[in-house]
Amino acid sequence: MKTPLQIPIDKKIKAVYLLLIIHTMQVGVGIAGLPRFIFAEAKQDSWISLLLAGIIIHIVVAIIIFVLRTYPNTDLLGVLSYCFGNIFGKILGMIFTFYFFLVFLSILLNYVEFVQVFIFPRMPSWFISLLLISLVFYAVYSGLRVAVGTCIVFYFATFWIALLLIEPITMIEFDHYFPIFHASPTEILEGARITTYSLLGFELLWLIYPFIQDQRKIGRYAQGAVAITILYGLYVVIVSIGYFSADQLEEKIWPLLTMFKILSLPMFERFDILAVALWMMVILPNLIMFAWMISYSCKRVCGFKQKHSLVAFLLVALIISSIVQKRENVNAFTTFIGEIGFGFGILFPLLILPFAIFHRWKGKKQS
Amino acid sequence: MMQPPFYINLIQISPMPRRLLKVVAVRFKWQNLRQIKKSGYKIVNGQLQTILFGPEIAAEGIFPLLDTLERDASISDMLHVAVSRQKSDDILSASNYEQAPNIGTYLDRLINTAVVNERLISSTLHEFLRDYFEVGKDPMVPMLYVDDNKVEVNSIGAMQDDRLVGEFTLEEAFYVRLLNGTFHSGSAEVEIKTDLVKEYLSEFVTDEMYEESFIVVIDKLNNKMNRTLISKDPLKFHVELDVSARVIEMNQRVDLDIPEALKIIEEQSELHLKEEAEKILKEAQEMNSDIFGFGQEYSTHVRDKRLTKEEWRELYPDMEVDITINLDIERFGIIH
Repeated sequence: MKTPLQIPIDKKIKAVYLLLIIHTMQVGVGIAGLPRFIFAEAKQDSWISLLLAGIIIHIVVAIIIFVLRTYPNTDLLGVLSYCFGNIFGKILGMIFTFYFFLVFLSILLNYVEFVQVFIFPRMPSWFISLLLISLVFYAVYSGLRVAVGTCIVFYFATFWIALLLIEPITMIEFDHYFPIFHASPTEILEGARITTYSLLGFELLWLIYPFIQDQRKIGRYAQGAVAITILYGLYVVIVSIGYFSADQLEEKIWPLLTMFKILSLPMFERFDILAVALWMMVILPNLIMFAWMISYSCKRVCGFKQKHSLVAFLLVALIISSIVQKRENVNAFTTFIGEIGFGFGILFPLLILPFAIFHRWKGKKQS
Repeated sequence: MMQPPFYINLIQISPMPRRLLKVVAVRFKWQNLRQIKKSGYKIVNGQLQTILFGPEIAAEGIFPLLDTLERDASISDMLHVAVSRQKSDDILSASNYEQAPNIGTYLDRLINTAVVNERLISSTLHEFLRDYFEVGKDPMVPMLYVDDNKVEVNSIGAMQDDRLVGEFTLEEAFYVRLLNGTFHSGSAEVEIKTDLVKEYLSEFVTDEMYEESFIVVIDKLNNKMNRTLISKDPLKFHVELDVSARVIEMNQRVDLDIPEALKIIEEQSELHLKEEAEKILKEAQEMNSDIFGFGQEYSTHVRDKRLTKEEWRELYPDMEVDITINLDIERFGIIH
């Protein structure tokens, strides 16, 4: 696994796409509930937590890129085997793959729940999952380039949803933001930690790195993507704090989707229904890229054919999503993913950093 | 063939209807509609536009009944919460509803136009609940009244949390809005002693027409409000209102081209508006219903811990408010 990866040029993508892919991966089901999570901890100072989380993620992304540049054209699994040896590297690689699978599952389960709560209460979970999974299969089956292309298309198909918040913006009560700096530092830190689940997705960098054509530019685009996400998150959080009163915000499960409920056009009375349906296009890029990550790392770790592992794990996901039904379970599962996501997303790069520094230092000494 | 759905556009909750017992109403989730199938149509609730509470339930508290509406994603946050002054059955059996297809649509239009014209303060489900959950603010609702077989809105109800504790006529509602912040339309009647402007009366006014006082109607008001907390102990606010308006009616001809005359009218109107606003504020304080949101403002100045509803209920009745009104009459029509 230590050998540098040779990716043919016709399978590579330009770094500029990272700007949109990483951003779409970070924005998904998480952001719908984000205002409530942060608000529960940091109250009206939530935006400070979010900014803090933003800074942390910027640093983590910088570390990931630093680590990847240390080793010759490789990905997460190569890095792992450099640092921990082949066997441990493989085991850790499997754990990572399993983690990606859990994230995939949590996105799927949460979206199924959106649909069942907002639009079709009696539609069976397996059916919604099947529709999503068949789209995911279609996009990933044809390889990374198609997957990336799909993400870009869906991004442009949905980014305007953010503009729909214009109506809630007119109803903002400015008193809700004061007093500023009311939360204690621990509350703000806790809020920042909780935010990370909603902003996960930059782990994609670990695997997509060898596929980037102009790797020099990777830093600016990845950081740009994170910045866009943070701005988007700030926008959603600030609008929700102004729009809802404190206790009201805390009882809404998905404040973002609830804010769409006041939209009404003469020819389209209930815009929120459409917004939830369109949300599918927001989460599809997440599912597609995670599916690619899972199948690709399966191939790297175990040597399975990517297509076989894709079919296998999509089937497992379909079965699980038809079994898990209750809000309680979905919620507990999502919280759990948030907890471990913090470890895999934020702490892991910090852990691997000393290895990379050591490797560089050793390399310098030898030359 | 599937039948087209029949949209419920109004629900009524009253303790004494013909079929619905109060106990049922409390544990209610369209129960009267589910228990009995009364329509050849499929019934869906996505188009619910108004929810109407009878006076007894409103006095007891309506929040428990709003739960189902808030919980159900298919219900719009834009539906109107309204309270009837009579039994809600009377409201619904009023037979004159203009050109609307049914009473439900009529009520929706009635409230909607009043809100758009700023005669009422909007009280949609979202706004009602937002104010209910807010510490230091209470919701307001339109009060419906049936007269001569036709439903009208003739007052607004002031709530204490979710209980109806008092009401203001639509004329008084103007002052409630004045103290509530920005608005862009409205009108007020001001009575002025004729003696004050005696020398500016135009020559058409003969002695027979002379009366002790006269009425000025000002309209199309724009209001900018500045509310500041002066001191916490004793609790004191200062409210500064910049109002601009035009005169649309005077039943004594005063030459408004003369700046002094206009000034007197402005000053007298300011005085009148201020008195009325203070009166309304006093009444609301007696009801202990903070429909103006003074508590919301106050809570932004409390740093050490969060203000609770109970604390504010204690503080609110003894709150002092200084009101300054700067009225600016910009226009007075095509005559002076």
